[in-house]
Amino acid sequence: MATSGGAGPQEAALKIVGEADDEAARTYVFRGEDHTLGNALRHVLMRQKDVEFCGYSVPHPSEPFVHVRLQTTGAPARAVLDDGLKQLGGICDALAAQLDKAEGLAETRKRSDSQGTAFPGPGRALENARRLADRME
Amino acid sequence: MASYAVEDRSVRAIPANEPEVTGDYAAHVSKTMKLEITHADDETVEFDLSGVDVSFANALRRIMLAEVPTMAIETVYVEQNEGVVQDEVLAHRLGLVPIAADPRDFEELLDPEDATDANTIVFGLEVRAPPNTRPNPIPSARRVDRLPGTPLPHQDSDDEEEARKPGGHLHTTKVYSGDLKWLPQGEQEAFLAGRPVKPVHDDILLAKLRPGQSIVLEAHGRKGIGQDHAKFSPVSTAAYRMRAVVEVSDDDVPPYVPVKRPSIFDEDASPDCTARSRPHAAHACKVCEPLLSKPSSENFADKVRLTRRGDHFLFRVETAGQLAPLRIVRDAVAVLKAKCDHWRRELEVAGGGLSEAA
Repeated sequence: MATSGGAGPQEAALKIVGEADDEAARTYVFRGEDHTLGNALRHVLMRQKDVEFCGYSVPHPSEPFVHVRLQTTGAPARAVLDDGLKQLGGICDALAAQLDKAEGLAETRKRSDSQGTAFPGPGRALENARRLADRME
Repeated sequence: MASYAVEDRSVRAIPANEPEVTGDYAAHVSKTMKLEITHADDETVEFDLSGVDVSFANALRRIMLAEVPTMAIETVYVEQNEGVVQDEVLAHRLGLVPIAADPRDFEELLDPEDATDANTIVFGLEVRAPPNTRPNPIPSARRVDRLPGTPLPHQDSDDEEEARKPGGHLHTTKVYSGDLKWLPQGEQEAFLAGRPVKPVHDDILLAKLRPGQSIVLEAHGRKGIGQDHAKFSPVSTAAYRMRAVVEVSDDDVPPYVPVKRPSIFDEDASPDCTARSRPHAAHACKVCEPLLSKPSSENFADKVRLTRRGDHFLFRVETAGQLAPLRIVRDAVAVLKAKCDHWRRELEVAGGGLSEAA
């Protein structure tokens, strides 16, 4: 989905800022991204090995940039960021798999059926919510 | 604000069950993550997502609102518009009509000049109000002479009823979204066989016409995201709340507290009931103060602790009609995944060097 980027010719989609002689500290400027990716990526990076510091900011709400600052204990920041993105993608895969399972349609899911709504009936929590609702006056 | 019942609404930054640092974080999360669909119908899906961080849950929510693509009318070519609704207002209203079309069938249209059958859907709208075939029974001079508020002497109800029928001078023709006719372009009829493109609702009022007026136009739709324009947003609601944790420190707390809405302590609760033994009550709990109601004894407040879990989210997603609700969730996950892949590629392209401008 080319929602991100929209890389204009004038400016690179990804800008990398830092000192040439220190690979362990970098600021990555993502074009076309916001808190959606910034915060989720920050969280994942903070759980990575070798990360000393990670923070993100959106310098101005009407400019389409998010800055992610990454400082490691020595490993190249680039490799850590790459792994962080991989891990975040991995979490998405895990959720997609859980959705398949929850829908119970993992094998039979077809493209043409995707507009339909065929999932197993509501679970126990719905019954409980209904019971509670019945008691409302 | 009374604060006796609720203390510590804060959320722990890192849930206690999560290790500080891990080599393979995705593997860890895929073990802790749990998804349960608690309700699903044609318009709504409710599910519990637990074992993930709030940043991930929020990313999903934000993507569902603003970054899941749908199709909507973008450009309107007005051939004739004689109604009171001006061209630009009519075009805006057309844009807001939800269109049932699978965005995966289409490519993105970046420049209107590049419109092809792969990225554009076309609707025709032609409504002609029947002309006034009956003469106006009210002579204009009589209108002028009439005192304000005085009923027209000869205009009884039968006349008016007659005049409101087609052909009458008071007849109003309504233009509905159902009047939009899909005009398949190029190969569309073939690759959209069995899945015709149409407005989700046929009864959205777009304009009203006087006798003899007409609207003739062609509307072109494209793929877009809510970030670009709210008309592309596939949801009317995409929200989560955190699951409540109710801790009762003393079993002497009376199980029945009279309140007017579902409570953690409601009427048929058995005497030995505690919040711990009734997890579903915590599920419904919205952590609001009236929930605990007025304590029946003064000591009650000290015995109940209401907090929220930082890693358990109760999602509710309502579709605006273009996509099935669970499909929106699916697409949101796919969009986030695509973002990760996209930026990994960009990182590879950028190489190990620094960008020119610091």
